[in-house]
Amino acid sequence: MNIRKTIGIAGTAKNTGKTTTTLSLLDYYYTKGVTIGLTSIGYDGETMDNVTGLPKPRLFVRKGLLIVTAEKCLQASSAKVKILENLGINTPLGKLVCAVVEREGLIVTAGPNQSHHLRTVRDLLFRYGAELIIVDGALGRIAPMIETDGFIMATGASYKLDSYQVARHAHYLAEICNYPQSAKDLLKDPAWVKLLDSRATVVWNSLGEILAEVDESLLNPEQLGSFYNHSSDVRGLYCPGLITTQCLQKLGEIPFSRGMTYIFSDPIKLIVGNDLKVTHDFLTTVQQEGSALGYKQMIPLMAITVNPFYPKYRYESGNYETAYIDKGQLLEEVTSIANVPVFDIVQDSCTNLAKIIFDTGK
Amino acid sequence: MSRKKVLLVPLDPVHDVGLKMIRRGLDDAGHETILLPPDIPVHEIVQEIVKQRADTVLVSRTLGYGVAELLANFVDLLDVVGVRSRINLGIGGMAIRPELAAELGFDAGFGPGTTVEEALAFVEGREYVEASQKIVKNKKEMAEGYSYSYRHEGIQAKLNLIVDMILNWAANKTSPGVQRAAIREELWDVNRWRNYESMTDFYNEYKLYCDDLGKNYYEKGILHPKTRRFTKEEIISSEEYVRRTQEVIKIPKLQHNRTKPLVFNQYGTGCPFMDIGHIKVSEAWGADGVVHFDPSWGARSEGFLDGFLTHQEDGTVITPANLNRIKRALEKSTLWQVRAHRGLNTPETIVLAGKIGADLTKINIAYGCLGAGTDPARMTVDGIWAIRYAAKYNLPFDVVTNEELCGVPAYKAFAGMLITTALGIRLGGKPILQPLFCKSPEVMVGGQMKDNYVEFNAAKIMALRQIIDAPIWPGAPVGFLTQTEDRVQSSASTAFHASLAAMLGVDAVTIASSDEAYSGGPISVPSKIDTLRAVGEGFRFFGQTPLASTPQMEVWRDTIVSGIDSVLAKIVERDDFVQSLYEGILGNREDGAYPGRNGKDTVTTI
Repeated sequence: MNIRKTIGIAGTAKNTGKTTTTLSLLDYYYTKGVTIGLTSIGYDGETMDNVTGLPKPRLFVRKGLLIVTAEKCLQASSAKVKILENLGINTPLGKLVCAVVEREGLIVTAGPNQSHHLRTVRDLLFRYGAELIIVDGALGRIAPMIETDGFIMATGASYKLDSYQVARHAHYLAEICNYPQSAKDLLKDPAWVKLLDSRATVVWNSLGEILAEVDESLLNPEQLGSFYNHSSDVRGLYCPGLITTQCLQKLGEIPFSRGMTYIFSDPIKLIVGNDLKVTHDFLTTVQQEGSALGYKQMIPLMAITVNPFYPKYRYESGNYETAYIDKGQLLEEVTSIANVPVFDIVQDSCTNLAKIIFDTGK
Repeated sequence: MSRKKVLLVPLDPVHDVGLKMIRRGLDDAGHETILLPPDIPVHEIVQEIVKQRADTVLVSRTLGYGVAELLANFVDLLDVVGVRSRINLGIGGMAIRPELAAELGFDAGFGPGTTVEEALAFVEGREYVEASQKIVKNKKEMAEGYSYSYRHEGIQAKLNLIVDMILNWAANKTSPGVQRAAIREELWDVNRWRNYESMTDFYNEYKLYCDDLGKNYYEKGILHPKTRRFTKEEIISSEEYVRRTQEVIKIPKLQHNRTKPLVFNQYGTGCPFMDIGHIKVSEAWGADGVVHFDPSWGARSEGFLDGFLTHQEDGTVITPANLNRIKRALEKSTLWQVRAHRGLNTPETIVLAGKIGADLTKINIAYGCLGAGTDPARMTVDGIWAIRYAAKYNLPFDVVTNEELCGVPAYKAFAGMLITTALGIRLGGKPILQPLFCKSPEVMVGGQMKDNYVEFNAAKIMALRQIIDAPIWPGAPVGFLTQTEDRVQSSASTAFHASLAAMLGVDAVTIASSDEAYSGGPISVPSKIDTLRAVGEGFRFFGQTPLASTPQMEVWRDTIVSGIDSVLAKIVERDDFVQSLYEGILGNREDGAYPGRNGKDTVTTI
C-alpha cells in the first residue's frame, strides 16, 4: 500500500527546469495509473517567461489529473476541465478552483501562493482522491515547501554560470535540509517535547527549565542579548521562527557550553533570505563542537535536478537568448558533492527520480 | 467599512509617484497610510510590517534584472515570519501584470494604468470589476435611425429620373445570373441541403445556366483546378478548433465611449479553415464584423460550385458549404458581410447569403462595371435583382466606390454610388454609403492630400451628408494606398484613418491588416491584431472629440456636391444609364475606368 504524499518542486532561480521536471513526473505517474493532484505556487505553463520573454515549456496534462489553479488560468488553457469546487481563495488571477482534466491539452497553473493556503489545497486534493500531490514551485520561492513531505530542487546554469558554484550551493542546501535529525530524537526527556510548543525562541538548562525567551523570529542580532546572561547554563535552544544570517552568526559567538542541542522549526526557516554558506558553516561548526542539531519538522531534500540552460542577456539588443553551459561537467560536479541523488532531467528518463520520491505500489 | 492601516513600500528608489497618488486616494477614503522611505533593506521592511501590524502592504517596484528574485524572497520572508496570511499584499509598477504577481506570491498586481479606485477596492477587500468584463456585444443594425430622405433637391430629382430610366430599361430583360438566382431562390432549400436530402430538381435546372466550370462540377464532379476538398481529418480538426475556441473566447469592444463606428475586418485566405481562425482572432481582438472575400475568378464564372473547398490562392470560394461552415463558426454578436457587388453571380450571392444567414452584403452597379470588369448591361440587370433579393432577405448593403482606386475622381464615383443607393431605396433596400478613405490617384495628381489626409476625406463625408440622410461606412479598407510594408506605419495609418472616421461620426469602418497589401500570400494573424489594437488605441486617444470643420473642407465638400450634380445631369441628358456607363460619364478611360467585358451579350429580352 502506498502512502499519500505531497512533493514540492522548487528552483534556485527561474529557468532551472521546474516545469520540465513536473512534466516528466506527470508523464511517468500517468503511465503508472497514479492519481496526481497538481498545483503551483507560482505561475506555470505560460508561453513566454514573464521576465526574460523567452519561450518556456508548456504544461501538457492528461485526462484524470486533479488540478488547483486560478479561474483566469483556465481561460488560457486548451485542456478541458470540469470544475469540482471553488475554494474561495483569492489570487491576482481570480479565485482558486479545484478541477479535473476531462480532455488532455495545455494548461496554465497559478495556485495558492501562501503556505497556509497550500495546506487547504493539499487537504482538498487528497479528499478528491489524489495519491500524490505535486507542487510546482515559483522562482526562488521556498517558504510554501513547508507544507510538503519533501521537495526536489531544480538548479543549474540559470542560478550560476559556474558549475562549481552551483554544486557548492546544492551541497549547502542538501546538508541544511538533510543533516539535522528529528527534534524528538534529540530531547533528553520525552516530556521536554512541550518546549517545542513555544511561540518564542527559548533556551533551557540541563533540567529542561526555560532560562530565557525572546521573539519568535530572530531578525536582528540585538534580540539575542539576554541569552548571554545564561550562556554557561544553557543546554538547549529552540527557535520556532525565521532566523537570519546575522542572527545565526551572532548565535555562534555566544559562549554556550559544548554538547548543546539546537532545534529549529524546519530547514525552510534557515534557508529563506539567508546566505547558505553561513548557515552551513554554523551547522558544521556546532556539530564539530559536539552539539546536536534537529528540526521540529523534517522537510527532506529528496533529489536535485540540474539544467545547463540559461537565458543570456544581450546588451546590444536588450533582450535574452538561449544559452547552455557544459552539461556533463555540471552533472558531475553537482553529483560529486551534493550528497543527494542528482539527475539531468532533460537527458535522463525520470524513472529513477520518480522511484525515489514516491512508491507507486504498482 | 473599517479603517485600514496601509503600509506603502517604495522598493524602487525613483518611481514612487504611483504610491503617492494611491496614498492620497486612500487618505481621502479615510484609511491610515504610512509611506516608508525608499530603498530600505528587505529585512527591515519585514520588521516594519510586523511592528506596524499593517492590514495591507503595497509595494512599488520596477522590474529589472534580479528584482523578481528579490521580490520572491521578500514574500518568502513574510510567509516564514508568519505575517503573510494576515496581510493583503499588492505590488505595482511598470511591467507588473497579474500573472507576475501570482508568480511572485502577491495577492494582486497593478500595472501601468491602474486607477486609484482599483487600489482602493483592493485595500478594502472589495471585488474590482474591470470595465472590459462588463461588455456584452450585440449585433447592431446600421441603417436604424436613418430616414433616407434627401437634403439636396436637385440631386434627388435627377436620381429619381435615373432610377425610372434604369427600371424601365431593365423591365423586360434577364440574364443567366438572374435565372440562377431565381432557381436558387425557388428550388434550393437550405434546411433540406443541411440535412443532406436529395436536391436533384435544383441541380438539374441550375446547371443549365452555368458555364463549363459549373457544368463540369455538377455533371462530372470536376473541381476548379486550384481547389480541393478538405479531408475528413481536416474537417474534424476544424470543427474541434471552432468548438474549443468558442468555449473560451471573450469579445472586447474597441470603441471606448463611442457607440460607433463598428469595425469590420476582411478575411479570404482561400482556405475557409484558416479564415475561421482569422475570424476568431478578429472577434477576440474586438472586430464587430467580418467581410468575406472570394477569388477574382468567382466574379467571372457563371454559377457556384458546392462542397467544403479550399483554394490555393487568394479569396475563399463561395459555396454553400464554405459559407455554412463559416457562419457556424461566428460569434452571435459578429456581423457577417458576404460581398456580391461585382460579378456574374451577384444576385445569386445574395440569395445564398440570405438563406445561410449573412447580415450584410455589398452591391454597386457602377463599380461592378467600371472597376471590376463586368459588362455594364449585365451588371445593371443583375444589380437590380441583387437589390431586390437584398431587400427580401433584409440584408443592408454597402455601395462601395473602389473605382476611385483606378483613378475615377470621387465625385464621379459618388454619383455612381448614389444611383445604386437611390435604386436601393426605391426597391425597398437599405443601402449604406461606402466612400473610400484613400490616397487615390485623384488626390495624388490633384494635391488634395499634399498636407494632410484629414480634410479631403472629411469633405467626402460632409458632401454625402449634404445630399442624403443615410448610413456611412468608409472602407474598404480605410487608408487604402497610405499603408506600406512597414507594419508599424501601416497600423498607425489605419488607426488614424479609423479615428478620423470616428470623429466624423460614421457608422462603420473596414480596416485592413497591417500586412494586407504586402503579405505576398495569406495575411498573417499578428498583422490582424496589429491594426485592431492600433484602432482601439486610436479610439481611446480621441474618445468623443469631434472634428472641427475647416474652410478647405467646405470648399472641397461643395466641389464634390456640385460635381455629383453635374454628372447626374449628364446621365439625365443622355437618357440611358447603361450607355452612360459604356461612354464613361461615371468614369472614363482617361480616369482609369474601363467598362467591363465579363458577361457581355448575355442579357436577353424576355
